[in-house]
Amino acid sequence: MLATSIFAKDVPEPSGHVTDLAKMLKTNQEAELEELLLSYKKTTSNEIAVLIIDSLEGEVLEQYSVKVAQQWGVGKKEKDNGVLLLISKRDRKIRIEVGYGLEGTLTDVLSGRIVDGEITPEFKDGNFYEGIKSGVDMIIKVIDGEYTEENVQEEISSDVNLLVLGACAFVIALIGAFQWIAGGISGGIIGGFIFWILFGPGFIILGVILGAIVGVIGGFILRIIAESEGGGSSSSGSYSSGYSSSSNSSFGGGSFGGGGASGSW
Amino acid sequence: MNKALIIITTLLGIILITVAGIYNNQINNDENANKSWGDVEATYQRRADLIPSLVETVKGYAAHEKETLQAVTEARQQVTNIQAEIGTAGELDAAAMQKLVGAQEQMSSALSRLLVTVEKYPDLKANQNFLDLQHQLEGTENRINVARQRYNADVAALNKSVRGILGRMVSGMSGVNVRQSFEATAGSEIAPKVSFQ
Repeated sequence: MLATSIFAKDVPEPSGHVTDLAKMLKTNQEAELEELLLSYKKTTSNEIAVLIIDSLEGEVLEQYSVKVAQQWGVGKKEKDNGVLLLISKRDRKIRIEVGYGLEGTLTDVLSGRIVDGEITPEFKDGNFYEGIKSGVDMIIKVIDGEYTEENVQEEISSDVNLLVLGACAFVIALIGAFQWIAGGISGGIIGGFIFWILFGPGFIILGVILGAIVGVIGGFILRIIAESEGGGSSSSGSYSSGYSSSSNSSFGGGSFGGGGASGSW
Repeated sequence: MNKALIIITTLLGIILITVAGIYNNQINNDENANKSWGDVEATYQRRADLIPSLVETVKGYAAHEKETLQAVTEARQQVTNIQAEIGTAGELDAAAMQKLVGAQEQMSSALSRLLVTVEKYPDLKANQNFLDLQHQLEGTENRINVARQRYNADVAALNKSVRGILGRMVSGMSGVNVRQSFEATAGSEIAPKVSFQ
């Protein structure tokens, strides 16, 4: 069990699906791969990322790979359907890191075979683009069918919903703090409207009731806070949307457990 | 009179909310640690499950390596025994953790000795079955590492929340206690070297 070295290598910023920090690929090759992976994500929601680094700088391949994959959050959060293909040019090492959700299809054995059979032979001949491309193609073939277009459609962006609800609730409570009747009425109207848009006509009544409650009670609470501070209404800073997205990459926040396979050329 | 009442109520409310917050935090940390402990056990089990196929495959090519194979099988048995002895309690004290880690590390070294021995048999090394098993073993070992690291991280967070001044007071209520983390036994980072004449 190795302790993490104090000279641990940092996780780089991703640049799209293909991050080539060692200039292994030509610009058009990188663009082609990027296009392929982007459209694959759109049709299946599976996220495949490729990272090419110059050197591991002494870090263990597997430790670095899972660190990057986890921090980037490759794959959708609820599905953990991400794959990271990591190549270290000077160390001549390859690794396929598989997210929890895909471990059942892209098993260690299959990852191993892809590394050994598809990527390594090409790399040995110096055909880096061909190696990566055939590796990615095979990965796609293996995991295809796991998620279909229907699953992708069903995804209501739940993050936006929460933010909207939170903001509205706060505004309603503010109104209610000034005048509870106004709070109740505006709450009811806004609540009904929002619930109608987000969840459908069947939820209007629920929205009205909840909105009114938030208006009256929320207003009451805000009032108490305001009065105990002796004046001025407080902008309740306790309203955090409670949403943490994975750093600043465009990946969905998927998780990894260490599955996959390594190789070298 | 009214103002005083409001202030007292608010203060009590704040205290209650703070205590509730600490309590909930400890419970959360405890549950996280339970979950990541589950992952540790699952990954260890995964490795144990691979052993029989590995032994069978190697036997087919390297029947002479009886001792090495025997060592692996015995180490696996030992792991199962210790597991039964310790049970699946989420909270292991230092002694129990020592036993478990000891048995698993013995398993690790028996395995690496076996894999070194395999180097002598090119036919075995080229066998697709064996190659697959090797990938599975590597994957499992990696999962074990990841699971242990995550468990340690969860234990660190848990211990922090239970050992602080306020944490101590609340942990009596929440029943959440300090946990043991994984510490590498001395020398386990160095793989056993075997030389051939």
